[in-house]
Amino acid sequence: MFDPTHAVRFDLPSGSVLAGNEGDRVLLVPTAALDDLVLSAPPEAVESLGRALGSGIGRRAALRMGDAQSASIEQFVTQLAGEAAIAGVGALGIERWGKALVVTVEDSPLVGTLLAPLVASAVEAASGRRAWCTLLSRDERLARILIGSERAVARVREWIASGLAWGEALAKLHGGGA
Amino acid sequence: MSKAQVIARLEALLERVKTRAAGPRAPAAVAAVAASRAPEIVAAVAAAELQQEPVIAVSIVEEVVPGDGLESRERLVAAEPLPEPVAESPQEPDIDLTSEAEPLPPSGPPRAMEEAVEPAPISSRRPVAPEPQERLAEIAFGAEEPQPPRHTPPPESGRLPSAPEADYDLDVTGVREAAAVVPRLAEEPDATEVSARVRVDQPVAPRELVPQVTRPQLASSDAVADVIVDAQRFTPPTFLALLDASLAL
Repeated sequence: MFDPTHAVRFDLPSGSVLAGNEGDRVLLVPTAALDDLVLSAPPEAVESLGRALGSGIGRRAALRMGDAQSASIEQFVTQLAGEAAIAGVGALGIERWGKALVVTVEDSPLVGTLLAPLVASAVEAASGRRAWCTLLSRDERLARILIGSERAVARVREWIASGLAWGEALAKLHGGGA
Repeated sequence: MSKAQVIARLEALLERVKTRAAGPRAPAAVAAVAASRAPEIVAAVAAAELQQEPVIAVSIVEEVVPGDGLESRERLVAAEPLPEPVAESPQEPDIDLTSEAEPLPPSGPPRAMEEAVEPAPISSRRPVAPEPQERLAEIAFGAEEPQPPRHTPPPESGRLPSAPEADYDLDVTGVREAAAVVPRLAEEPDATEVSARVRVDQPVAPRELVPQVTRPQLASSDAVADVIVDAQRFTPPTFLALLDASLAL
């Protein structure tokens, strides 16, 4: 169960916003400003920004979980999704496609090129595992992001770029399908 | 007369014929000789002059005078000398001879050809003669049965009298449920139209439909389901187990 009590503290006399128990200072940034930055910045800068945003979310989620190694799927996803919701990223969830882990984000204000590294970094910070990700699909409501190895992510990107549907790409990643 | 005398006489006759045949002769002389000499010599001379007629002449004489009772051939050939025109046309002797033996029919095909009926062979069951025309028609279309004499005139055209009121025992005959027969009028339409209208007007009796049930015979089996992939069997206990599996792809 996620406990959002005092998750964000606004210190009005000092003019700061603090997040989490450790009091990480955060900044309320308009999404439009991020969109302009993503559109003008190089991809590597966008990915670095996304990973920076995600790492804080994952780290705070790991603090909430205590022992993330033994946390169940529901416990892990609950704490991670709670921290992502406080940061205003969107409603986070996961899908299991076979052995593939797919993180879903609903109603996110972030663009895909920024959202994918954010999610990967959050998972990586919360679990302590090195993870790579790629955007499978994105529409106005839902974004799907595959979490996998560097090789697996590269193959799926190639298949999708060649016109293969993301579902068939996941099936093909398991050694079957087209 | 003994045989020796007969033989001697015949040899003398033969010698005399050979002698006369070797010498020159004329037709007139031959005819005179034939008239004055013995009959047997005439026959021989005639055979020498008319190269074709002698055989026919001899046969006719035999037919005309059958059973004459004469014993020797010399007496039979005492015929009149043949006239000169006989030798001019080879066809006339046939006609004359035929007229003497049997008169010709006036005209048309020979009566023998008309009335000749070939007898049926012994081994054949059916007669050779063709069946008469009536017999063939009877075989092909069957014999017409004689119609019985008609004692009543044929019915007249027009209205038909209505049937009298039925007086049935309703409980016995079952006529109670039958519809009343309406007599047909002259103004009524054709029978086909009437039948069609009756089919439309009369209420159709409800038919009781009985379903014919056909049930499949399926045997229970525990080998119906076949799992192709075991992806959904993967139930990682922790999130890190799931993450590790995804990273291992």
